[in-house]
Amino acid sequence: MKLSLLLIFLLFCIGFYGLCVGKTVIKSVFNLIIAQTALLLLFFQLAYTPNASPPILDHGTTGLWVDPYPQALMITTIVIGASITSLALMFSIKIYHHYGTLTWKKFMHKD
Amino acid sequence: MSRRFVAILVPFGLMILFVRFAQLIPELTTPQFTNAKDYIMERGYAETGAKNLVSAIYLDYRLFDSLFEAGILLITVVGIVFMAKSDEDVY
Amino acid sequence: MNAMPLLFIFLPIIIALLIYLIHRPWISVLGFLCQGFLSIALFFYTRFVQLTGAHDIIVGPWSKTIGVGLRNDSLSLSFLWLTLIFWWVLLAYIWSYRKEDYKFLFFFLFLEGTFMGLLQSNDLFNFFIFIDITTILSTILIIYEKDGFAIKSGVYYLLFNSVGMLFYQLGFIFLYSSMGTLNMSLLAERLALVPHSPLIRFSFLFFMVAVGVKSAVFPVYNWLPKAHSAAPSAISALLSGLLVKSGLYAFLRIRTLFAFDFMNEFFFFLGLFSALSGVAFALSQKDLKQILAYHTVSQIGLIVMGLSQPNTLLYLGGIAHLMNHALFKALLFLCAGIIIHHYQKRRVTEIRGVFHTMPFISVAMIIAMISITGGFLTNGYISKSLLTYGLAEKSGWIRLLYQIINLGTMTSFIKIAQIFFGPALPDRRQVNPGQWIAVGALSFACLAIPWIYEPLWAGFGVQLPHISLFTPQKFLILCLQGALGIGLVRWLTLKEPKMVRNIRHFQIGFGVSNGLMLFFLLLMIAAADLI
Repeated sequence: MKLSLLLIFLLFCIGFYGLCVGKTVIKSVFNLIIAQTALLLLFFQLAYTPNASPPILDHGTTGLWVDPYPQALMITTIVIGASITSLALMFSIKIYHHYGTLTWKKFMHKD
Repeated sequence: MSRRFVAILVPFGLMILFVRFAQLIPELTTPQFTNAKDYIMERGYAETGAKNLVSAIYLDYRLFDSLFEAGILLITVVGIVFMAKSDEDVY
Repeated sequence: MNAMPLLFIFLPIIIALLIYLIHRPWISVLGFLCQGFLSIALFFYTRFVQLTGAHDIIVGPWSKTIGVGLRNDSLSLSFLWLTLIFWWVLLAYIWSYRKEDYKFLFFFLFLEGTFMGLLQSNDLFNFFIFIDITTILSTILIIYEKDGFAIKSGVYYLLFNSVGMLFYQLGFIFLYSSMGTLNMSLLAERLALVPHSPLIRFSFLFFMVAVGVKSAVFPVYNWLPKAHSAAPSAISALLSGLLVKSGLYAFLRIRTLFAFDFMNEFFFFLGLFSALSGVAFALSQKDLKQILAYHTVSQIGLIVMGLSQPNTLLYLGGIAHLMNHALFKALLFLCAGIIIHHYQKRRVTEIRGVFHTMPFISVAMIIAMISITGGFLTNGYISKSLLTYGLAEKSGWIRLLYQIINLGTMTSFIKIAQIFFGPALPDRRQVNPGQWIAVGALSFACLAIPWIYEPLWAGFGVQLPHISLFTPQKFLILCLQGALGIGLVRWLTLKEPKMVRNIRHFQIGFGVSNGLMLFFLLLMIAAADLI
């Protein structure tokens, strides 16, 4: 469990690093998705207990159940992330129509 | 030039953050209060009638959040349709 | 009376949906009807809450550990009144241009509903959802005119605030894993029982990064000048006046939740530094709306400076300045919008003769400019005096920096005042009654508040000390600052040193801003460890 938490946080760090050095808008959007996914996985992993069954009442083989609360919260977070991604991609299409480029350095400060 | 600067300093910062996170892990994995989980396990089926406890939370206990999530989807769709229309389209 | 918080949230949203579905010219009047109904409802609700202290409900018949809670106390009631006043004024302002623009009214009224939800929310995850809806709606409203500058500012705003909200998610993940609930009242009780472990400190710091991004404090304010100057004028007034205060509202709520005191000095210096940098950048700009946007950063720095020390006079000054800044900054942006629309130019050096072309608007703008510099007979005087008195026990060089910030503000507004001189333009402006009502109402509020502020604030449970309305030493200080300001403006415009041009063209890219956000987080971790 400890190793998986460290790997998930490493994924978040990779996503955040990509946000800091990404040259184009599309790369920034992708790295935002990676970071958000890493946070979802972190929340699921923290709510897990070993040898537990999913939180559906007929499936319980052992007496332990996984915490269902984070799973419900993260459904909403996935939808929010998808909405922000789709809006950002739509806006990047419009930026391409106006400026002809998607590189941050070329359109952000020049025109 | 500033990009090279950022590309060297940000991994250092992230490594510091990573080390602090690794120090916090033992505390993260031992919860002190587990009221929400115990409450749902005991009374989820009796109060909501759903055997799938995740649906019980998402559609009964936290319906307010789910309503606004649907609202976000509505806003996003209307926003994208609005952005996609070019200026010559008559409404 | 129990379902009143839900009425405030859902009525504007339902009206927005009706306006979007029914495309007839008469449907837009529903906006004003909705506002009137909400005002009456809020009046009765305020009296109800003041009888009982704070009003806590759960949406649905569930218990507090598991359901979504809404809570109203005097802080959120004052913000609700401010929201209502803003939407009245802005509906009057946009009425003649946007009466038939149903999509704009849809987004605008939906934003009112979700903002009222943000102010009443008592649950950390629900608060996160409302902040995200507000971000998405404001992005769409910023990009409404679809020109190039607006789209790139909107994309920067959306992506940067989403990265900030990533840290908010980390915060509540850590908090849920150890506390087991997300209801803010329950969390406050449990956090009072438990000693301050490193995990709880870390979640506090992550929340503070997200709040810092929303409130535009020093390292992470770069989205604000671009977004606030690219938006249409009514939306600029809304963003600068109200939506950036949602970050400060989150700051107050989360600080009350954790009841930590060890970061107060850090936030004090953070506010001071962001006020200084905001003024320094504002002095070098030439675009009217960008100057106003940088001044928003600077005044928010002063507010954060005030809010960082709870239970002192400085805190009262911070809250008073928050409310007053909303009013006069909205007035400035609305007047700037009218001027820019009439002249079709945005640079301060090119616009001339506003006083002869539109005397009423220029008088309103002069009132707002006196207000932001803390001149007499305006509401800015009250809040700036409270801040000055609150800083009286700090060391000498902090007070000197504060006076330098005020000097910089006055210099910048004297520089803007050059648009008033000169001959009138040949074409007369069409009289627009909605805009006159909006501007007139806000300037009346700016002038009337110094006389009635004590009963007004006492109605919300805050006792402000009495401030005399005229003191000779303050008059002398203001005259001295005015003289120095005029001298500085002449020096800046005549010689234009190269440093000013370099500051004006200094821009930070998206990647470097994210690096600055990480630097902000590490700075707070270092400050928390050393203290």
